[in-house]
Amino acid sequence: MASRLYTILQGSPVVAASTVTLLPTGLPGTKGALRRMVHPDSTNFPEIVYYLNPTRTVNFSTDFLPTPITEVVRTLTSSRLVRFEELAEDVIVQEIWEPSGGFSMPLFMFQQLKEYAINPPAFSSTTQTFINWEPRDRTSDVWKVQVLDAAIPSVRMYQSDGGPNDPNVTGTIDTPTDSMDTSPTALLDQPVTVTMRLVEKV
Amino acid sequence: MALNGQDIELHLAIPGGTLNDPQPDPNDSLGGPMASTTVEEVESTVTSAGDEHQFTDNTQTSTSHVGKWLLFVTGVAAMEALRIETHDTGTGKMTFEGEFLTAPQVGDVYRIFNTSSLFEPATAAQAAQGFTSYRLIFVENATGDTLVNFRAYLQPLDRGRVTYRIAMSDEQFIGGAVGVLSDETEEPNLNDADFRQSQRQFWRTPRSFAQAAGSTPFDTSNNLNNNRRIPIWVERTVAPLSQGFEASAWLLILEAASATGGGAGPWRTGIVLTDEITGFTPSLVVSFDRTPRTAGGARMTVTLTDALSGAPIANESVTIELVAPSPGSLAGETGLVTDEAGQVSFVYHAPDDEAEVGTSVQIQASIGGDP
Repeated sequence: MASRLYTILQGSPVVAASTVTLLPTGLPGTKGALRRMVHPDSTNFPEIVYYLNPTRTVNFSTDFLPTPITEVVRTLTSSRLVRFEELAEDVIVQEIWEPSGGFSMPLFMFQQLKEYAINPPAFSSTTQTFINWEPRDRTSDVWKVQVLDAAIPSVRMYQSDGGPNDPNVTGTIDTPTDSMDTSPTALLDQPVTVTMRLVEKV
Repeated sequence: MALNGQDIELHLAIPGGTLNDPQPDPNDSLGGPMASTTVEEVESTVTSAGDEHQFTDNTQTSTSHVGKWLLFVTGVAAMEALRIETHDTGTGKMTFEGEFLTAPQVGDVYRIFNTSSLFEPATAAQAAQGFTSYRLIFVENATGDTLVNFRAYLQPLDRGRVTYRIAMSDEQFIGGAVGVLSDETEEPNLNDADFRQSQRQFWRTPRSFAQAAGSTPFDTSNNLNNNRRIPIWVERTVAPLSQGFEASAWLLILEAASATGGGAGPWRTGIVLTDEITGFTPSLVVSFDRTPRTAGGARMTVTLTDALSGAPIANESVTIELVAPSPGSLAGETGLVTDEAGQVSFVYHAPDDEAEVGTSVQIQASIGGDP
């Protein structure tokens, strides 16, 4: 066997980096803190810290607000109150962003919320996981929720084409062909509603 | 004597040197004296006849560096171009794919040459603009006999964006200043019509040969005389806008019908001329889809494009790193390969710690380099 000589070229890697500075979220239970959602699939879904909190929150204050079903029925001598209590899992919470100063939220935030809504955790009969919802501006509690929808109720179906004829969008969309792109800077001028069902407190 | 391919020697040119000076770098083969150093790198003798032949190189530990080869085979068996099919890094055994035109016989000797050494890989800039370069090699008949009907021609194996032409020159190119190129882009002093590309345009005698018949490497019957040398110019043309295309492979075939001393024929050997084209000038961009907040996260996208054309580059492995002392963690950042859009994505999770507000987060992506 003859000797051999291979020239092995040392590759030079191509490197690029990006640097950002962390912005504040606010401590749980602190006025002004931003709300947060955490998807159990942390590999594919980054946590959502609301760019801004909703202007209205329905059926939730510092805790869920049940709406018991009551009925007053007549008895032979008087009347009685029949009351059916509502548990947390019976409560549907809505977060509503109303246009303030002409816009309700940035399009990218809506797209983040929509992404959670259309990608619920996979069903499991034994180890079901849920999205965690943290209304930090109201309480330090964390709730397991099922996000039912993130929608713009004023239009029957939201479809952002990003073009000049899109009634829901003002400003410029960086990637017009991808409505779920989360980097656009456009602003929504319609109310946005996130509807979620409470499951239990974490 | 029997026709033995071992006696058909392949040499490189060495500009500015003296005859038979060693020339270890084929990329400097731009005319001048004939170097004594061939481009031989591995030699193996057939110990059992068969269509599979193994070379052993225990010092080679990674196949990633041994992609394509220039192959020169000596032996009574002729073969087509071969490429490495498998490489057992433990034993060093390499098995080649390709066809033996005649079955290897015990005692045959094969030599392998590194293909990328005759021409350097075309850079992305060369591939974008188009690039023509030249090399000179010498074939020497050291069989002791006259090679009957000797000829050389090119045969495309894998057509790509690279084409070759060859031209035979004369022995004036050996040992003197005649025909020495100042750089690889200088065209040899030959007529354009001297270059041949297809199999039908084979070379038997140099068209520009000026010496009297009988004193040339060839006799009047197109036979290559013993102990004579033929310079062969190899012209490589990389077509414009070739970046991103696969390599081309052409076979330079040297062929003789027989040898006057009784050597059996036909005899044939080949040099595989393959091309590595640097497919792109990589441009990496790392982007956050949002400015992360504490307790928040961000979807990260790394986009790989060709800086020259802007086209996305798919199927490239990307390595991701959260540069220390950046806080937080990454998810889904391993084993990433760019998609058709040239992108990979993963997730950054910021720490749920307000003390980290204002802290810089740096995420780095890299491609290439040694594995």
